[in-house]
Amino acid sequence: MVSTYGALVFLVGAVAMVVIAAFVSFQSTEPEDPKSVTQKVYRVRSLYFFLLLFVLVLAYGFTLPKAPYFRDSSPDVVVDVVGKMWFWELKPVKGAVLENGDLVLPAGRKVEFRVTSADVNHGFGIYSPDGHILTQTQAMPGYTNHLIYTFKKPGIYRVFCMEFCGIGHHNMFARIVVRKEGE
Amino acid sequence: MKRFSITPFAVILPLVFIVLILLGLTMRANQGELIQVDPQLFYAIMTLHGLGMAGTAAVGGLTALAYLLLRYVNLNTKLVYFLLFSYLITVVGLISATLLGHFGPGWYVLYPLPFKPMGVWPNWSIGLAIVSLIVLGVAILLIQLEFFRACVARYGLKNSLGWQFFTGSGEYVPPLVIITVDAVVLPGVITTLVGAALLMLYFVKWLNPSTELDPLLIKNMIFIWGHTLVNITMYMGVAVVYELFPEFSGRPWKSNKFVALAWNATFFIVLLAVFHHLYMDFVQPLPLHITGQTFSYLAAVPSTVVTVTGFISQVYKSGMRWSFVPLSFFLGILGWLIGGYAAVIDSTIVVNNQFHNTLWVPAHFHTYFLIGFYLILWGFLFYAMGSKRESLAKLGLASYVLGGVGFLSMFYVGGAFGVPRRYAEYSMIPVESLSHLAQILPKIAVVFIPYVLVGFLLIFISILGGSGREVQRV
Repeated sequence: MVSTYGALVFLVGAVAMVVIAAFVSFQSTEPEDPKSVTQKVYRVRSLYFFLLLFVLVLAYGFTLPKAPYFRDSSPDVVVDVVGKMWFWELKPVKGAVLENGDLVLPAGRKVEFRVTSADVNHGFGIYSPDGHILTQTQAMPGYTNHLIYTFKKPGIYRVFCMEFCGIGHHNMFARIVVRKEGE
Repeated sequence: MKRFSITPFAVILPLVFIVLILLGLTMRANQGELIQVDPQLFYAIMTLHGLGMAGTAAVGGLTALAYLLLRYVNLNTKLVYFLLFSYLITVVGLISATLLGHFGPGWYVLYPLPFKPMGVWPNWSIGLAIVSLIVLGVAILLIQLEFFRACVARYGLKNSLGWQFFTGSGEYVPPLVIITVDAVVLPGVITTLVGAALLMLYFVKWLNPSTELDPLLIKNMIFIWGHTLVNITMYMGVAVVYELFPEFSGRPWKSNKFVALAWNATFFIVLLAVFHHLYMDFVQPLPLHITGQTFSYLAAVPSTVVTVTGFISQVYKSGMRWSFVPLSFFLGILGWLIGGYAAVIDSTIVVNNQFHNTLWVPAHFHTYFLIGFYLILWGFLFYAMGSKRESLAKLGLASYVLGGVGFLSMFYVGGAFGVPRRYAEYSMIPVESLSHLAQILPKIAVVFIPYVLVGFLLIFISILGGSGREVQRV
C-alpha cells in the first residue's frame, strides 16, 4: 500500500525532526562563540543541501512514472460512472454487467472508469474489501476523467465519495463485485 | 511616530479562535457519535470552522507584520484597524450565513456546490457569504499593497526585494523582515486578485443564476487563492520569527545572498505548487500536474536549507533563556516543518492518489496551523502585549502542545488507513473495520481537545496580562 509507505516515511522523518530539535535546544544552554557556531552550521548546511536534492530527485524519479495518468489505456473492460447527489450511477459499457444494482467485473482485467458528474464535484474512490483505499479520481460536471485500474483479487469492493458534495456526502457509496473470470 | 495599539487584536483574534476550537470539538464529537448534530448543521459548522481558521490566521499574520514593519517604515495604521473592522464584519456575516442559514459548501466553496443547496441553505445565505468574503478580501488586498508601498518608499524596489545581492550594487541592505514581507506580499497580492475575480464571478452567478461557469477553471482559481493565502500566512509566521527571535537568542539574523535567493524563489514556488490540489482531476493538462509535484518538492529547499539552518544557528550553543516567546516560536517552527513535511509527502502524485481527501489532509494542515503558525502568533501577541506572566503561559503551552499532538495523531492514523475526511458521520461506511476505526479515532481526539482549549485559555489570560508594548522605531 502506497499510503502505508507514505505514513512510515512521515513517521521516520517527523521523529527525526523532533530528535534534532530536542538536541539543538538542549545544546542551547552552553554558550559558544556565534562565529564558530555559524561555521559549523554552514558545513552541515552544504551537506544537507546536496543530500536533500539527492533524496528529492530520487523520490521524483521513482514516483512520477507511477502516476495514474501514465497507466496503459487499452482497457478490457469499460464502465461509465456518473456521480449524482447522492448516489453513483455505474453503467457497464464493455466486459461488465449489472446484477441487482451491483457492478460485476472480472478479476485480473484492465478496467477503464470514465468518470463524470451530473451536478457538483464528487470523488470516485475505490476501496478494497478490507477497507483500504486503492485509487481515486474526481467526478466533475462537464469533464470526464479516465481512471484505469486492475482488480487483482475477487471480492466486494466499495466506491466512496471522496469530494465533499453536500449533506448526503457521507452516505454516497456503491458496490463493485469482482469475480474470477468465467464465474 | 504613529501609535499603534495591539490590544484590540490581542482580544478579538483569540476570542474567535476559542469559538472556532469549540466548533472543531463539536465536529469530532459528532463523528465519534458522542453527540448528535444534524448533518445540515455539521457541514455549516465545518464551513465556518475552515473559513474562520484560515481568515483568522491571515489577519493575525498581517497584524503581526504590520506591528513589526512599523519599526522600519511609515505604515498607514488606519488600514490595519480597517483590516480588523472588515474581519469583524466578515465574522458576523459568515456566522449568520452558516449557523443561521446553514450555508455549508465547505471552506473552499467548490463550484457549483454553493449554488446547488438542495433546499439546505437559502439564497440569502449564499449572497451574504460571498459579500462577507469580499469585504475581508478587499481589506487584505489593501493592507498588502500598503506593506509593499511603505517598504519600497523607504528602501526602494530593488533593495526591499533583496536584489542588490545579485546586482552587486552594494546598496543599503534592509532588515531580513523587509525582504521576507515583500516576498510574501507580492504572491499575496496576485492571489488576492484571483480571489477577487472568483468572488465577483460568484456574485454574478448569485445575481443571475443562469450564468454558467467552468468548474475546472473555477477549481484552479479557488486553489490559486486558498492555497497561496494559507501558505503565505505560514511565511508571515516565519517573518515574525526572523525579526523577534534574535532578541531572545542574542544573535543577529541578517539578510544575505542565500536568504534573498530563497525568498525570491519562494515567490514562484508558492504560486506554482498550487497545482498539487488538482492531481485527481486527470483532465487537467499533464504539465500542470508535473509542475505541482516539482514545485511542491522544491518548497522543501528554501524552507529547510535557509530558514531551518538559520534557526539552528540562532539556538545552538546560544546560552539563551527559554521564556514563553522563543519557546512558542521554536515549537511553532517545528510544527510548521512537520506539517509541511506531511504536505510534501502528499504532494507526490502517486501518494496523493490514496491520501487525497482522507484525514491525511486535515492532519497536515492542522499541524502547521494549530502547533505551527498559531503558536507563533500567540508568541507574538504575548511579546507585543509586553506580558510578564511567564509561568502561566508556559503551563498553557505545555497543555496546548500535548493536547495538540494527541489530537493531530488521530488525524494522521485516520489518514494512513484511508478514512475519508468531511464525513458528518462514519457509521454509514459499509466496511465495518473502517467504520469502527473512523469512529474510534475522533473519540480519542475529543479527549485531547480540552487540553488544547485549557492550554490556550491560560496563554490568552497571560497575553491579556500585558498592557501593550510601544513599537520601537529602528
